[in-house]
Amino acid sequence: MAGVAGSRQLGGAPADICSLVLRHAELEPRRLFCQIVMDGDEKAITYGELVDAARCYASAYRRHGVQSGDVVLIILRHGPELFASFLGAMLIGALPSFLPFLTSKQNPELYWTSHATVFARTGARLLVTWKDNLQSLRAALPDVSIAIHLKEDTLPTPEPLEQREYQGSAFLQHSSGTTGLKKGVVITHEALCAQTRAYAKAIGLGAEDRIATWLPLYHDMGLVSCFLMPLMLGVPVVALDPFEWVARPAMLFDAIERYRCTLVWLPNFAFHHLCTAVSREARWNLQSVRALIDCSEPCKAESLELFAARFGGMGLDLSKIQTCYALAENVFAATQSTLGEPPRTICANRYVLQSEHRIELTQRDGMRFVSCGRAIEGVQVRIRDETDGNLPDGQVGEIVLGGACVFDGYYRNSAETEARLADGWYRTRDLGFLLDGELYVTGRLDDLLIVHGVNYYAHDVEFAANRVPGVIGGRCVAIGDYQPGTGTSEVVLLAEVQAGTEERHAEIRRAIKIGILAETGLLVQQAGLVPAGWLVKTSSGKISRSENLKRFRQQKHKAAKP
Amino acid sequence: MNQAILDGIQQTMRAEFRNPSIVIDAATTAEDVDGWDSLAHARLILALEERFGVTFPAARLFDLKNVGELAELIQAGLAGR
Repeated sequence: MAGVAGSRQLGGAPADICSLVLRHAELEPRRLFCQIVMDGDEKAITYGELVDAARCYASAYRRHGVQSGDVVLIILRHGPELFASFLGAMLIGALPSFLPFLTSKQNPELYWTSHATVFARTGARLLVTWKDNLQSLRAALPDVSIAIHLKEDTLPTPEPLEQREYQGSAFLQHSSGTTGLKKGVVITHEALCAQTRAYAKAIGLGAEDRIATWLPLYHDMGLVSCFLMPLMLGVPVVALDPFEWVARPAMLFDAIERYRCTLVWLPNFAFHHLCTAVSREARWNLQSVRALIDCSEPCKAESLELFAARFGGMGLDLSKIQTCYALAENVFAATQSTLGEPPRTICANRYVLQSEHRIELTQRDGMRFVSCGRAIEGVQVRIRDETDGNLPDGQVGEIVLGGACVFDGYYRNSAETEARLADGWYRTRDLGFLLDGELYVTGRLDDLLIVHGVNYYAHDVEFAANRVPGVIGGRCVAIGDYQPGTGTSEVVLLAEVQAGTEERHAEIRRAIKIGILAETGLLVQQAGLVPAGWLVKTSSGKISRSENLKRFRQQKHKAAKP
Repeated sequence: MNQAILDGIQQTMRAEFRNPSIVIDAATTAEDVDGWDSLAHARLILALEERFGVTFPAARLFDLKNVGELAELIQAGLAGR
């Protein structure tokens, strides 16, 4: 083990995750893998305990007839079983995949019917879930042909594992997406190893590190950075329940202080949540943190600065806040900022960017972008124009990734695979530019709003609307509604607001239009106000543009009054 | 049910969700109150803890069924002080 984590890299064979973990458990069974924090309680899991439990799951899967290459879906709440059930499937060559769990707020019938497509497409052999789910699952999907293993079932004693080579497909990572559109990203053992090797090197991950996380494991950020990578390298993880964390975000600081954690990955919204829902009186010593890494949503300079201003005095100044460009189709990270220094931010001339799609640096009144750092080892990043040519530094185009971490395709979805993956290059549909070797992400290709030939990013329009008093924080969406008659898009901004008088709503509508105009130069066609909870979200909690556009078109002629 | 606690919750909600017209009772759920989503819930919990000087057990925070259960949690916290 010392040769593995101690040398800060994966030295020598074996290199696949299963062989590595089995070896860790054999050599150092009492080494800490994970400290699980839930229900006000803490439970340590060692490598020995994890592998014992995983082998019990492996035997249970065998009894359910699971073969090498079969898909095993896992829908469980936070707890030790998450890790053991996933590893157990990989140990017998099956492909595990986490799916989001059913929350008390969701309608069980809608939840399960939305999963019918995933069950059908993956042809999953087995679903691991908890007993409470059984009734609603059977009611919603009476004909589903999937074996079910309940968490409450007694696990068989482990049988000896067959000797096997762990290569090729290792697991599926289901992309976020609205109902029925989830795609199973196939990750191979080779790509996972390449990612772990390169990303650990980029952040200097070593045995002295300790990761604090509240991230769900059905998302690549939690799955790779806070489970698979540390598991391979023997880096302990302190894992909080995602539900508990959302209700009490200060738990993260408690965990960091108590266990002297060094690394944390957070989506951009979490920086805001920590600023608004943590007591201003409370103090922590967070000096142990080497880096708090913002990824999986567009990183905003303002968010990071706000956070550093609030928590800098406790040890989380701007030099500790880092950025990363990551996506499931590249296992996880593609680029990473340099730890120890604040990520670079630049200010670009808005007019030049909107009309010529290129970056001209300016000192003031521009659009600010924060760098996501450099490509990690073995990952190639290029910026592509419409004819697949490479764009030079400072030109905005589609980000395309190549190299050893690129995924193997979408599981049983060749049409989608062919559309996005060619000759080992993955078209991300994210827009960005390179500058001095660093990647800046400007938006999503699908989220680009082109109005009279001028490009606007939906994120920027929403950011502006979000600042308007009366708009519910984070609850607005800018949608380009293409008008065949004029050949251009009308932009509609839908914002959730509280109930109020018509006068008050007229004021808010006006303020939204003025606010967006002032910040982006775009006068939106319409600022539509909808009641709280109207906007449709994807399973990972992002507001879905396409779904809301559909809904908006359906209701366009009806008044959607809050 | 302790009316003073319900009144305190209502006042806190009005301030936290910036909506003076919110009216609640023990049966009120998150769906009944505009803007009461999971992130807002965290801010509400923090504000209630500060107002009543209690600390809620983290494990209970996300499976509260209605305002009545929230009030019971506050009452238990006050009793245990």
